[in-house]
Amino acid sequence: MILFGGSIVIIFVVIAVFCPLLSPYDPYQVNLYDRLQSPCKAHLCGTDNIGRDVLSRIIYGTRVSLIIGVVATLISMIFGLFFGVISGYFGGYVDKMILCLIDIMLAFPGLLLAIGVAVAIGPGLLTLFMALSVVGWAGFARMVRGVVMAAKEQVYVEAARAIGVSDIGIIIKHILPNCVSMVIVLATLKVGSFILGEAALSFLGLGAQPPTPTWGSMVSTGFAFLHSAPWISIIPGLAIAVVVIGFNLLGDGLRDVFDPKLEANESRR
Amino acid sequence: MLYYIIKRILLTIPVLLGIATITFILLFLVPGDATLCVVGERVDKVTMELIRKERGMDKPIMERYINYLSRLACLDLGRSYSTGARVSKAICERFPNTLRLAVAAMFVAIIIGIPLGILSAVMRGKFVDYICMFLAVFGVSTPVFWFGLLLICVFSIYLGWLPASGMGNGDIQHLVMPALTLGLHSVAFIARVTRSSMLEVMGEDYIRTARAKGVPEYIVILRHAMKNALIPVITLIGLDFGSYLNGSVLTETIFGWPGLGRYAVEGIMKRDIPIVMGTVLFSAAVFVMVNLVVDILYRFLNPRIRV
Repeated sequence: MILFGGSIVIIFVVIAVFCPLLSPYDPYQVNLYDRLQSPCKAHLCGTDNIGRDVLSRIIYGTRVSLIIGVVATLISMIFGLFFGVISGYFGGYVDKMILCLIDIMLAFPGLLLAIGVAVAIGPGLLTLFMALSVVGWAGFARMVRGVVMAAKEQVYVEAARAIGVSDIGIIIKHILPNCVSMVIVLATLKVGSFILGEAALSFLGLGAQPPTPTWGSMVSTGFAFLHSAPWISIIPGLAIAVVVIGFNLLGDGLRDVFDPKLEANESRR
Repeated sequence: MLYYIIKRILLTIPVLLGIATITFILLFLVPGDATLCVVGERVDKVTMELIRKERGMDKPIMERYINYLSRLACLDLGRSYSTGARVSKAICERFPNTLRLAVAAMFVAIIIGIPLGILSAVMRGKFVDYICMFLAVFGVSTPVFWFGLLLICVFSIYLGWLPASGMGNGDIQHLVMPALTLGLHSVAFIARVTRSSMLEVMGEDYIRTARAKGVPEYIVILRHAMKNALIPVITLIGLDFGSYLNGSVLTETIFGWPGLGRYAVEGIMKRDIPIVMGTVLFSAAVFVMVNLVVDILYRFLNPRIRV
């Protein structure tokens, strides 16, 4: 599973990095003579309503989607780690406050909160990062808090405290390494769900604005031409599905590797 | 038990207050003042000041917050900037449609997801298991709006079997595709959860005993394993309700379904802030209530923690 998912991810990363070399046409080039062409030799995925090559826009869209997915995940991860560690390690009143905040953020259905943030700030690339991070940090924080609270009770932490290691030292050297594996698994799965979120927000017109090629906005544009030119919507959507499948398989595979409970059950059989 | 219910209900109150506060912060963040959304950009300063006074936007933030909370206590979500209609009234009219779609989607998810999960667990390690789990990953990874468009392409445009949009007279023809679309993520989620729950239960001692006694395998699965495996699944189905609220925004847009999600999208298109924020707040409140009910139900259903 890791291999399959990982290879899909690597293929898309390569496409994103080398898109100027791989793309057959300029994704912004309008050519009204060739509009709404079905897939053919010259245009492998057809052209859209103003004659732009769909395949080129999908290739450039890979870059946009992956960057947004990864950066939003990193931002969520940093905030989640920060609040999770503080909440789990220091406990008490601080923990209660942060836990309350996490519960409130998790009480919102994710996409709706992202929509609320995006409408409040206004559409754009930066909005996407902020909206997705606001939605995503709480999940990380809650998980990290659980791990930190368990790690805090370990004997080696007590020993470190006894020899005079500072709180920050304990957190960095002893607590954080416990979180690494779960954070990696959650981050991988989150990239997939953020790519879906970005596609949904772009579909609604709240993401990166035209003419930037994003998969979600391509599906949205194609909606009006579903009867005559379904490839404008179908093919970008397929790209979204494949990338997210790749990240989900990779995340599931990593979880199978890192989760000791699952491994214990396997050995019992 | 009663003590737990009361405690849980009391714990919901700060969460609801928090949701309202966050929505207020989002309302406050709208750049260029919400006045611009009301009157448009080509307006002189005098009119703008008048509108601000009229809508109480010149008051200090704490006073606006208190006003906001007191209006919410009376279930007043404001008035739409574009139509002037009360947002709460519009939500009350549209929410039943969304609820109907959500229930249909849940039904679809259960009748497809649970058998898929059970089959996958029983045939663990075999080809069928891999196919089912791949379908589950596919279901979770597919964008909801794309799947809806795919269904429209196949069943409405090429085959002509089903209507592409609208609610019709509430007949089942109009309900099938939106319910399938909305339920897709749920089907995958339920299948995976049922599978892992079944696997856990099937490793238990009482299953081994039943098999040792010579009970036929299908009775072992249906009577012994399934009942116990389904308890956590039922509660997770309830918690998955949040995904219906999310998905309804996109599904209703594609299928022209006159529900809450489509109302929110109309608000987005018109930059009508009260509509969007009202819908977000209402959905979050509904989600909190559903979680509360599901949590209490889980405690009630699971005899091990009931006492």
